[in-house]
Amino acid sequence: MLIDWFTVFAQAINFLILVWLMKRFLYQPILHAIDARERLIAAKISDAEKMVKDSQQEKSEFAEKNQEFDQQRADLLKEATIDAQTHGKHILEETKKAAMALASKQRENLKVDELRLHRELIRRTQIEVLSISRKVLQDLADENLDKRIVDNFVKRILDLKNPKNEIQKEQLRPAFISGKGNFLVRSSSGLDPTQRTSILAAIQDVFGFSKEIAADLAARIQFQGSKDLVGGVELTINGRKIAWSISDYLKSLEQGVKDASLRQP
Amino acid sequence: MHLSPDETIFFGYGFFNINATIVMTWILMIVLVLGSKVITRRLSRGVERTRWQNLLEIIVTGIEQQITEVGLKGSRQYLGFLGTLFIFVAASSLCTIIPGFLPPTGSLSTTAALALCVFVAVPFYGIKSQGALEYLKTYTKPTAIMLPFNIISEISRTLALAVRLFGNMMSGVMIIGILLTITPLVFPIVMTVLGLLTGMVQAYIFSILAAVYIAAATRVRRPKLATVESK
Repeated sequence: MLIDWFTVFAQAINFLILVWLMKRFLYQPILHAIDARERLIAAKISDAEKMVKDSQQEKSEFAEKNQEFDQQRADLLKEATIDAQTHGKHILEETKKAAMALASKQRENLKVDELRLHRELIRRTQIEVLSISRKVLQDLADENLDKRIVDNFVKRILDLKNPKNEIQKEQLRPAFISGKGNFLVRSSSGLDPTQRTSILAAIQDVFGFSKEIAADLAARIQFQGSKDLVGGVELTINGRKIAWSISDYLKSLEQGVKDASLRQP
Repeated sequence: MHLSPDETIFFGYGFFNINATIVMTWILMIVLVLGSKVITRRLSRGVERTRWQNLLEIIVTGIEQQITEVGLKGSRQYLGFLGTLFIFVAASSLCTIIPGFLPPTGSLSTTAALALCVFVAVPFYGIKSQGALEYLKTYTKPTAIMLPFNIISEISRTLALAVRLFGNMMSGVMIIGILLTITPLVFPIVMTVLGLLTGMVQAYIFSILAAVYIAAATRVRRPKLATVESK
């Protein structure tokens, strides 16, 4: 007999037990592990998808922000460029103004210096010219010159007779007739008696004094030599003065040159 | 020479005979269960896993996929029964390479027991799926005249299951045994390899046929409803 019914029964039971055991020890653990892994993978995929989505969103946000930053940067750069250009222009203008002011001031300083130098030059020239003139006149002084000088002095006194010098003449008159005070005639060289007489005669002629007054004047008159007077004669009485000298001309020249140099810009 | 391991009795007491078939089955059960226990003891639930776990997962998911492809919905509830059928028959065939091992499936009692289990499982799952009345009605389809034929078909296919597996396994063992007496060197090895292939094919056929029978029993036949589109 090929079939043993006890064996059939036992094998059926064995098989059912095996089904239960395999289910318990093989299928369920394996399936649970697979399910767990699938869940894990699904979770990871979901996380990855979420990360991708988030990263894409972040990427787009980042790109948007980048664009915004670029725009802001461009705006700021443009604004800064305009500001810098404006500021540059302003600085340039101010610099130009300052430079112009400086140049102007420098020109003024130069002019002042030039003027000062000019004046100094004039002053020195003047001093030299005068010094040379004095020296030349002193060197040239001789009797003829003294005579000519005294003649000119006398002419000057006689010139008081001219009506236009009437006021000066009348101002001098009391000084002569008061009979007081010094009556001094200074000259660069000593006067000889003829020259002294001619001076007194000229005074007598101009003022028309009486003999007494003339005698008084002749008694009071003093003649004095003075090196200060360069080629000239000076009459002083009671603070009044009549003079003619080359020195006066030189002083007049000096004053004229000074006035001219001060007027010159 | 024994045609069946049933004839090798280790212990007998009247009707109760503990023969080689039962013992080999127990050994196989112990190996399978302990192997499963050992491998599944440290199962990895992460992405990284051992090669053995990978192999087991391939086998289990492969069986599950085959059940689904046959047409059974909710494949996991059938996985225990059909998967164990496949693994038991395949392991029996595989162990024939071990000298001294007698495959339990080489016994008609074992194949009959497995076929009987299928014979019981088909109406069990059918009733579970459709209800007893609906399931019993399937025997009268397409007409009541077909009832005896359907019953005969049910019994004959169970018998065919048992005999097919027994014949293949027994013949394989017998051929190797005979060839060992004739050409003891190379040829039996070739036949053993062929026997392994045959065993695997038989394991596949047995479990697939069982799945097909269960699928046929659990398929709910519902009249087609005309869909009316409401306007």
